[in-house]
Amino acid sequence: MTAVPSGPPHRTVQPSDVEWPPHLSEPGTLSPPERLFVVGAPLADSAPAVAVVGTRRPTAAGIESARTIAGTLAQAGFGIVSGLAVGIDAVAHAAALEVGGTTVAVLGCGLDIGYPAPNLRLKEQIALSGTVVSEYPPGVGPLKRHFPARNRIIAALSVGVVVVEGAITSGALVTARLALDLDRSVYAVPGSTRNPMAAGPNELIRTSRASLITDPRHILEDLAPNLVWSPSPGSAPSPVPVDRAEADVLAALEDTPTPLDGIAGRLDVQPGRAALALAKLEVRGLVSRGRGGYLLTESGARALA
Amino acid sequence: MLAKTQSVALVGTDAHLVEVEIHIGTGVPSFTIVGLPAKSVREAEQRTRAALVSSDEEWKAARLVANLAPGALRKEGTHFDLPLALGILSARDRIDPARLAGWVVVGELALDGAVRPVRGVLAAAIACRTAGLRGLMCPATNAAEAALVEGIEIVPVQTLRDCIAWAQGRWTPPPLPAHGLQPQEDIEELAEVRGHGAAKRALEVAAAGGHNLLLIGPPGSGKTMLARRLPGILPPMGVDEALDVTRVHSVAGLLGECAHLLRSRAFRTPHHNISLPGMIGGGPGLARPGEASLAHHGVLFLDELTLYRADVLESLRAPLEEGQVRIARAGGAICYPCRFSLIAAMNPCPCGYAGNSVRACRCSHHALEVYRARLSGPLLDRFDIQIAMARPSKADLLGPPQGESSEAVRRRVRAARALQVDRYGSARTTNASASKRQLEDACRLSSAARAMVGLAVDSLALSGRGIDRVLRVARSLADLAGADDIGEEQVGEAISYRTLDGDMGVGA
Repeated sequence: MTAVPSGPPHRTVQPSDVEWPPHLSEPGTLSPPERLFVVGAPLADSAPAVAVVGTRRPTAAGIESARTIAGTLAQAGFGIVSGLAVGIDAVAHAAALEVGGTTVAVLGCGLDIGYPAPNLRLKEQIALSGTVVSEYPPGVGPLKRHFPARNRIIAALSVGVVVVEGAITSGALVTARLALDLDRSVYAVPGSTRNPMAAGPNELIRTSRASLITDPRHILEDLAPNLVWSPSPGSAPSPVPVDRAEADVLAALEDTPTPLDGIAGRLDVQPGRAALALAKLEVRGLVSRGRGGYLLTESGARALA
Repeated sequence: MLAKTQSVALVGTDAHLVEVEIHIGTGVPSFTIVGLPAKSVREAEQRTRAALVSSDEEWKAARLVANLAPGALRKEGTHFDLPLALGILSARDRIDPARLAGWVVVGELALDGAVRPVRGVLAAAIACRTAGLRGLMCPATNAAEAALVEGIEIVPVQTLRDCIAWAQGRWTPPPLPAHGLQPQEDIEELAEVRGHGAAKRALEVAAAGGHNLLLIGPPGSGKTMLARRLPGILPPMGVDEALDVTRVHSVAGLLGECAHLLRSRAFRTPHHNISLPGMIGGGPGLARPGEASLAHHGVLFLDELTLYRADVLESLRAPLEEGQVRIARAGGAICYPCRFSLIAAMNPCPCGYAGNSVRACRCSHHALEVYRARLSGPLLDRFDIQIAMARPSKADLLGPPQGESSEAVRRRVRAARALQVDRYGSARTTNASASKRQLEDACRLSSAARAMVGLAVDSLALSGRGIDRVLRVARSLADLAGADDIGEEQVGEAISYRTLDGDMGVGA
């Protein structure tokens, strides 16, 4: 939380300025900010933006969803708005930058505050090719109450909000509620009932407050129905062929990491057999292994389908 | 008036013969001990004097010098009391000097003349036999461990009076009871562990190839229970190994009165608050072997690996490579053997529930970072096999015990170890400890296996060291299968056991 010398100097944007995003002064916005402190590209210039928000402690599956969604939307020309928190927020910003898209980070502290520490480099990158915004003047620390307030700006700046993962009490759900108040579209990525981090989006879907999405294209169809989807060659790789034993193993995987034992037990085979199949899948990128066990990757899910 | 007796100085687990020379001259009455005596040796003066007087021997005022030769070797311990007392008596012609020739004497004296037990009697007995000496006089309490060494005579004594009577030819010690082997302890049975087929398999592979094993799982997933089963599936110890282990315990003073040859493999579980000397040995005064050495030829189990002090874990690195600890001390370096199998257990995160479907992980991002950083790459490099464990299911817990008995697994492990003995030409070299060159000669890969390794290097960013470890484990898997060449199955399984660093499997 120490002040770090920020690269480009910030500017102050007033509601009367050309750069002031009109969305922020829309009727219904909860106490619009009096002014914004901005670093990077002009705010109003940016294309319609979608917020991608979620937990600070995502699962591997959540990270992959956030990356795909933010990447695809950014490629389609949407700006990606998020809160620069660790976890889903950071993944979303990074995915947008990766495909050369624009991204807006809304902070809960002054622009000169080095928070959150793990994302300082990301913040610099966003300041170069995207925009970093805060309603707090330099020197103001990241207080707890700033974050729900920050979320109202995220909601207001976006035409839609995607909730990837989050507990029922998470800030991502606060953002979703604020977005609903502003009449924005809310989307949620469903998850296993056994994944506590999927509880938030699942609850949004259950109470019909969010549309269920399983593919970023669902968002594009909803927000930009006129957009013609023409996947660039190679962007959607064909499923990797798997043999029968490997397909069985893929089917036995869950949203949460499953240890070798669980997989072998579910298939009723010797652990060594399952280990071989998993290794073959892992070297082809269809599953990934972490300290808690194995997970399906995106291409693994595609092979399974 | 000069007399000599023989004793030993302990250096690590070895006993070096020491000449105890006594000179009684004229001059101002004094008692001086020279030859690098530590405090515990210098204090022998008071004990010896009181014990002699208590044993009805006259203490005549004289200028008394005791020299412990070789003079450059540092002497520590209280076992010099008895040789000093006998030396003094011999110098005074109370006993026949010839009677003590060829005997090594160790023992601590109480002020009333009783002989107290000392550490390292087994090492002394071995030194006695190696030097071709006649026998060893030692405290009766330690007689059983001395008797483990064949080919020397043992005189167990309870009091200084006994010693004097024996030296004067008036007393012979009662015959020692025949020493027994350590009663076979009940081994912890592998079949009692329910579920955990994969972890049991990993345990078997670790035992077969001498690999170090890292178990990762939430609290209550049975990590400790599984680790305790490792000694029971390792091949039984040979007599030489047993003698080595018993010697370490003798030097540590851990053998009781009814000492026997330790036949069961040790299972040491030092608490995570353990100090550096506690782990690798040393400490003030006469150095003691640490937990690493007490686990010699056995198992060292580190539960909650991340809670150990960083310097303690780092201190294990060299011993793991070399099979011995070297401790630098004022009097020179000492070595303790420590060839152990290392098993460590840890939770996936501080709260233990990361990536778990039963309960949500409550750790902050920062806490996870700190937890991750505690495991240094060099430390994780010592583990060839890593396996994730989950809590066993209800069906597993309530169902009948399943799986193989420890004895059945041990048979396969013995067969695999026998192949390694043939291959490396040494009973001590395993797939885990073989040199890089030996490993290269031993690892002939089928073409499919080679292709699999190639794929793993590309897609899993396997490093050179990572490949090395995968091949070692694959070799052990092939040995268990009785296969000459390493096939795709072995490489695949080894890849799925490889140690991961960095990623905790719970997200970025």
